[in-house]
Amino acid sequence: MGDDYTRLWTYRLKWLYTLLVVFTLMLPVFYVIYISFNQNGFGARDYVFTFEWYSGIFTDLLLMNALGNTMLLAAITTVLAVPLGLIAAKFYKATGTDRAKLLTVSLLLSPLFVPADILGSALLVFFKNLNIACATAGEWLGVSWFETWFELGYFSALVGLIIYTIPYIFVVILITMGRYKEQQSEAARSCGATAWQAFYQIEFPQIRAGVFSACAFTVILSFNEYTRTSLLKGGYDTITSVLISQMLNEGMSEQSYAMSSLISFIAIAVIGSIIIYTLVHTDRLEREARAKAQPVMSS
Amino acid sequence: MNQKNDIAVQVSGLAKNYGAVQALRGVDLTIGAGEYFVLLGPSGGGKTTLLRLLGGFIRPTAGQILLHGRDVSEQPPNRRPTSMVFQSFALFPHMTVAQNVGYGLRLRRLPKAEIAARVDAMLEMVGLKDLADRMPHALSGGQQQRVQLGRSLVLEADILLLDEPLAALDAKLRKDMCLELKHLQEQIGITFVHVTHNQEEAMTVADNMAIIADGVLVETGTAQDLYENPQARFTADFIGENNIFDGRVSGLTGSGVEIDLGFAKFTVDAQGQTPRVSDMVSVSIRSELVRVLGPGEAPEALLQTVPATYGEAVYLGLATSHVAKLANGDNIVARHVSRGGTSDDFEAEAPLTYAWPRTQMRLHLS
Amino acid sequence: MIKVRPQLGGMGGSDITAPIPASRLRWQRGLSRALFLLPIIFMMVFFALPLALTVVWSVFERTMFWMKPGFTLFSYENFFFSARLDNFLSSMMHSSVSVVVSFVLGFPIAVFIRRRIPQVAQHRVILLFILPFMVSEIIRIFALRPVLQRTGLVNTVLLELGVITEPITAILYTPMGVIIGEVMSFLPFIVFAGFLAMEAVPKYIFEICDDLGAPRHRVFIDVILPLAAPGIFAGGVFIFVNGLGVALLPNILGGPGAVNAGLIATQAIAALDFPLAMAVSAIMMATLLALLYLGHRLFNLTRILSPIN
Ligand SMILES: Nc1ncnc2c1ncn2[C@@H]1O[C@H](COP(=O)(O)OP(=O)(O)O)[C@@H](O)[C@H]1O
Ligand SMILES: [Mg+2]
Repeated sequence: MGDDYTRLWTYRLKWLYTLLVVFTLMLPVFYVIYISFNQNGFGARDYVFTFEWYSGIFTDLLLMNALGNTMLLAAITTVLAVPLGLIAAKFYKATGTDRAKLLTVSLLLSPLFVPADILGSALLVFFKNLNIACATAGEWLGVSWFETWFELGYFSALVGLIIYTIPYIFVVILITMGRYKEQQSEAARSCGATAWQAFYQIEFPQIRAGVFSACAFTVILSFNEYTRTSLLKGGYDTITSVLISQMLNEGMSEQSYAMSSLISFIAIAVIGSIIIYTLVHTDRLEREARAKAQPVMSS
Repeated sequence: MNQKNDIAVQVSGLAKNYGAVQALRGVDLTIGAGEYFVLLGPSGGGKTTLLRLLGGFIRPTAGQILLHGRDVSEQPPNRRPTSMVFQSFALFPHMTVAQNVGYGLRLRRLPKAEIAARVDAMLEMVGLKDLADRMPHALSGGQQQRVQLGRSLVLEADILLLDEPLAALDAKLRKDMCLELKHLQEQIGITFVHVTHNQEEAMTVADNMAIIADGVLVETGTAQDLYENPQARFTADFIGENNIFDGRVSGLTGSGVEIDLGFAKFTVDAQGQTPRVSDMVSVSIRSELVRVLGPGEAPEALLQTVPATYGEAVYLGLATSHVAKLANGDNIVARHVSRGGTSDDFEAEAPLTYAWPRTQMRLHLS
Repeated sequence: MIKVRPQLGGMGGSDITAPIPASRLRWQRGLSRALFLLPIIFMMVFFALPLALTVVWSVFERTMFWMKPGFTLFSYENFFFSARLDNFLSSMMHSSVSVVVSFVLGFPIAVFIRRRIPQVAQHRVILLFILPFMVSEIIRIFALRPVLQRTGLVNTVLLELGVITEPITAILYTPMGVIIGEVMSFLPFIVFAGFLAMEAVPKYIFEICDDLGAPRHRVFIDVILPLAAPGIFAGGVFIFVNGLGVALLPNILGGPGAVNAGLIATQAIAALDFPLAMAVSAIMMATLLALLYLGHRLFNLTRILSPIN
């Protein structure tokens, strides 16, 4: 673009602004990390570097227990939500009618527009009602094996997390699928592949990056989620609920700083490595895509 | 196994709707085994739809598809004796050329050594021996299509379906590959069903062809049939360059049909058709059969003549088109082999006579 | 000419082209249809249905610990004829300010990325904005406290620099604090939405405008805004609705008066007033649907989807 060279300075300023915004958004988190390594905690005059506040985290039984619950929830959410999002994206691409497309897209994206507390409250009351309905039905039928299905607990928390994460999964996978040409699956079918073989031998290797990014997002989003989970989880603790109760009860203790930093570290590391991987990988993909888009028209 | 008198494809009453769009309506079609069959027609006519129905990529709304006598209407693509070559973007980008070609064999769980041998032989056949380890994105358009061909042919399916296989190639390459396709088909002897909107391509390769437009199968026949004796007005309009006159039957005399065009009356042989008086019909004449008579030049007997006002000459290389206006305002074209130097024989606005042999005129009832 | 070829099935390998019996075809088709409908059914049952039912539950009668079927508008009265309505309206105000601020700060970035960054690199720059979003919401919001506090980072730095002589106290535990929190939380979304929206503005348009010598603000108002409107609107609605509904923001950053719909709902649940919580949810859903309907009438929101089609 000629413009960039004639107006190099405005171009640089715009870059600077963009990076400054990203930095500003991250600043509070960086500051928390900075404080977490200070022996004297927040607001102290002298900065003394220490790991002291971190050492407490791993010996805290309550916390380790919460970590277990959180990881379990994150893992199951990923295992359930990513395939659901993938199927939805495939359905969206495969369905011929505009009405089915519109229905799919609005159902899968609208959770973005429903705030956490609102969805959480609605689901909470929904599950409580289901629970009562089951109990009533059980009493009436004289059987009880299904009575606890909808009690607040892992299942309800999972539902909340799946609904929260599925829009992101859907969009990420759909965008990756956009590059994929359906003719390839058809070519595979005509070579003798079943629909399933055509999917995992031909399509999946090409959308793998999108699916794995979606998995990483899902793990991190469910790990970080507080509002919906805390409303729906029933009795047990998760990392975020422990953290929030600590923050609200003791203010920001040094321990809270350390925990926040640790969680942020993990998220930044995971997403950071995905970003770096993508930076390296998209280069290759784009080159291939360009080569495919303009084949040399001679033999 | 593949005798010419076998029937490879038999389609009856085939229809396909996409919502309210009727992409294909009541198509009946028979394709002999070992034929090179071309589906020709304008874009959006339903050719791809018909081919994809044969391949099993879409399900018919109505009708039946028999391939080698077996009803496959409900079978998925992988259970049909067909293999498909697509217009573009159909190679597996994450596999090498050899892996692409060997994909179908791998699905059939053939021994590795046999796969390698068959792939080698096929690459040799389609002229890609040296490119076995290339990735698809490093191939030219023509090479990509060869890989697709190889990938399909290696499976030895009975019927090869090709959807505009050459449309993405440049004109010169398209011509060469056309002939190659034809020779390849003669060599292996399986049935090819080839979709194209390009007349020249169709004529080059086809043993038989079908004209498809607006979801309807208009006419089938050999290339020569369709060029010289089209039954349908649409075919006459679509293939070659024809002058077409629409008019009303005004009289029947033996096998002669008198047609009133408003500005003139033609008499045409019925050619076995049975028009009735006052039917709307059309008459066509190929433009290369039309001659331009100068002022004062007397017409021979047996020639049909019409007066016309000369318009312009359009130089097309081998031929030159002489365009004139008829009394009703329509254009009439005479196409002559170009003679060196004098490209403009006639004065604009000159009153001339256009003439052609009566016997070459064709009557179209539809 | 006619060669004898081995039949397909006789290729030595397994016969994978034998016809499938009709009965098996039928259940295979049924199964695959069911599989494809699974996400839709899931979202219908656990997302659309509970939200739709909030309307029903909101007119139930409150009991000591739960609610019982009935019809009363008490919860709505409770919402509309109390300080809650004022809180709701002022949180709408704050939310609108956040939308405008986020748009002004974030949309130019989306335009810049689309216009000036080579196609290949565009997605990578966008990825940078995912980074803050990947840190837990509660940490990001809580972390604003040490930054904005009386003795926090902003005040310390400004005092050191001599820009101010007194710590600024208007930026935390005030509506201003909530707005800052909203902008910090939701700004990436206006960049994402803007980026998708700019897909609707083909690059050659800029070249035409440059050719015509159109001034920049005219290009922006006459060309970019109308074309990108659906995407911008969607981003704006996202921020607006979440500003109304995320209870953590006013809870942690707002002062005593800062209460939004999300906080009203969760406080109602904590007080076991379930019908009230459902009424608030229903009102929020009505607000959202009204906004989306309005946007759809104005800009045909389905246009947003064209990039993924
Ligand atoms: N998946 C589809 N959904 C809706 N309409 C379609 C679809 N595929 C084709 N059509 C319509 O069916 C008609 C025939 O299309 P096609 O078979 O592709 O024509 P051709 O290959 O002769 O150009 C066209 O009008 C086209 O718009
Ligand atoms: Mg076509």
